[in-house]
Amino acid sequence: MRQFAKSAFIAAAAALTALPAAAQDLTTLRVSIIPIIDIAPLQIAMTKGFFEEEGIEIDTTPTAGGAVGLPALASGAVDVTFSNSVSIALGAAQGLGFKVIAAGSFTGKEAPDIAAIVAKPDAGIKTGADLDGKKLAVNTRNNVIWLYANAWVDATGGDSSSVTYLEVPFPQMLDAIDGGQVDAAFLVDPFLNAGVSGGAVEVAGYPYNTIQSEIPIGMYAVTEDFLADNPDVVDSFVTAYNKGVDWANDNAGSDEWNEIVSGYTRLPAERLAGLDIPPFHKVVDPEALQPTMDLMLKYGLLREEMEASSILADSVLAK
Amino acid sequence: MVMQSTSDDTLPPTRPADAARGRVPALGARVGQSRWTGLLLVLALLGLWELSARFWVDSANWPPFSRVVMALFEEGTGRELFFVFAASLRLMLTGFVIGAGLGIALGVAIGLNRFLREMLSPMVELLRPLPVPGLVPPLILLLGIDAAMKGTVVAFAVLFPVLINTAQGVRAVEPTLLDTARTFRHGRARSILAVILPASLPYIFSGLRISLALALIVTVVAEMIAGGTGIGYYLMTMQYAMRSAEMYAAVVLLAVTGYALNFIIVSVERRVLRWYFAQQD
Repeated sequence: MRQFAKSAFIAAAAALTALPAAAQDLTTLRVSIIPIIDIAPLQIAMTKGFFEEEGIEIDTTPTAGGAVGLPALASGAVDVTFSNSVSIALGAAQGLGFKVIAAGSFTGKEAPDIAAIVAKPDAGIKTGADLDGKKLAVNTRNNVIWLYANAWVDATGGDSSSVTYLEVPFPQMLDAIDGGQVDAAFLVDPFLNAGVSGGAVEVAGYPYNTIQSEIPIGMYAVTEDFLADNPDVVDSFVTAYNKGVDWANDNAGSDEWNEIVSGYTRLPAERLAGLDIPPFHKVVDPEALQPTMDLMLKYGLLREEMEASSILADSVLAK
Repeated sequence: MVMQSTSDDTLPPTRPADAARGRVPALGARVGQSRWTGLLLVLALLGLWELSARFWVDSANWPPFSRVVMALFEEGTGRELFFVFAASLRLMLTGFVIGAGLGIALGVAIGLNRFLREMLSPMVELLRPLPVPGLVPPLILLLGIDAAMKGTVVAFAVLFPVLINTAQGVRAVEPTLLDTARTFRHGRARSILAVILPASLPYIFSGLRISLALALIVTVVAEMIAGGTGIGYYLMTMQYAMRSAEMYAAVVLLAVTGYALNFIIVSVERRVLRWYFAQQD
């Protein structure tokens, strides 16, 4: 009897230890995301099993706003964070050691773009000069949207320092224009598409395109320490993610693509179908990113010059 | 911002009698009488919502109430909302129990001990008005972005109204009761459990009721800022997906949940404090 109990115990112990061993085959990465179209390649790579093929399991932590992803990365609560170039550069400048390992989203090659400054059709706002002394809605001050709004106003004959920037969340921007609380707004898809196709607003300009074609905006960052300690895991992540990029570009607009993207964004399929989504990239060229850093210096987000290459890891540079 | 609303409800410790008098005819006692006129007003406002969305307000963010109700009864939405609310309520109750437990314990200690009172009061008054959205970023560094962080925020919000009301209640215990306890040679622990806590219950409950409403609000706010679960995250996601009917479906459910929670705690209060209400009448 005692002998039986002993062997049963050993068998049970073996069964228990065998379970985690099987799970250990996959390395789990915690990734902070924002559920927007920009992260389509990541979601695709997860759905299509590209990460599993590389021995990685992705545990996504979605946040509605992007503001908590980078503090969570700095604290080690997550391993990888999807964020934008300006926020990542700001964190890097503060000594948080952020490194970009994979490209995320780029702006469009030419107009019409995914983001635009819009105003009421009869407002007569066509250039930055028309915005002098007016109120412009941006989703957050001191972020990438705010930065390019400033740059566009100055590049099209206006004076960015005379514009009042008001923080309005994207979903409320059309209402703010309609109600007259702001004269114009820096709107992004799908709200841009909804507002323009519904006739509520007209495009005054495409700030990103006006400054530069195909600007790298969204990107995936880790900390330097994580990169130094886990070079293989990072390589596997990037390999799988880039497979997702290829699939996203090859199958854009297909039913499966729409199903995956509307699944995590919760966007109704008919909204998604109306959008023109720029291709995803695998490489961030330091020279394409440098103008953003220079604008950050010009508009006071950085105190001293920053080399774009200093925040780019090898995995996101051209081979 | 959220926390400041408590300051009106928690009167300074020097006026316990006013606090007691002020709370009796509040919500609980009148729920029964005002139910019908109150319901009529709610229905009238819902009608106004429906009409305004159909005829005056032209915005994708303002769907008619009937569409919100339809969204609520769509199969997928109803099911999802059930799980979304379950996750939030679980987080809320965890934070509430921890915060209320700490609040009662600290409140008793502060109420009984002058040294503790003088030492802790300034800190309590400094921490109490801190807005939740301001607390979240530093807490992320310490606790991450999951339930631990959000539960802490909820507990933090719950702690102060309970603590302050409890301390007030303890200080308002009639000296004759304490003298009686002494006459019966009760030890300190027994005095607290058998005399001081029961006598302070009306105050403690008033703190708990304020805190319960706060806990729900703070849970939703914390979920809006961080993490991918619960009511707050659902509201944000639906708003950004331009699905305002689903968003308002969650808002309507949230209102109903808040009402139900208050109803429950008022019922418990009336049951537990029957002696107290009998005295008041």
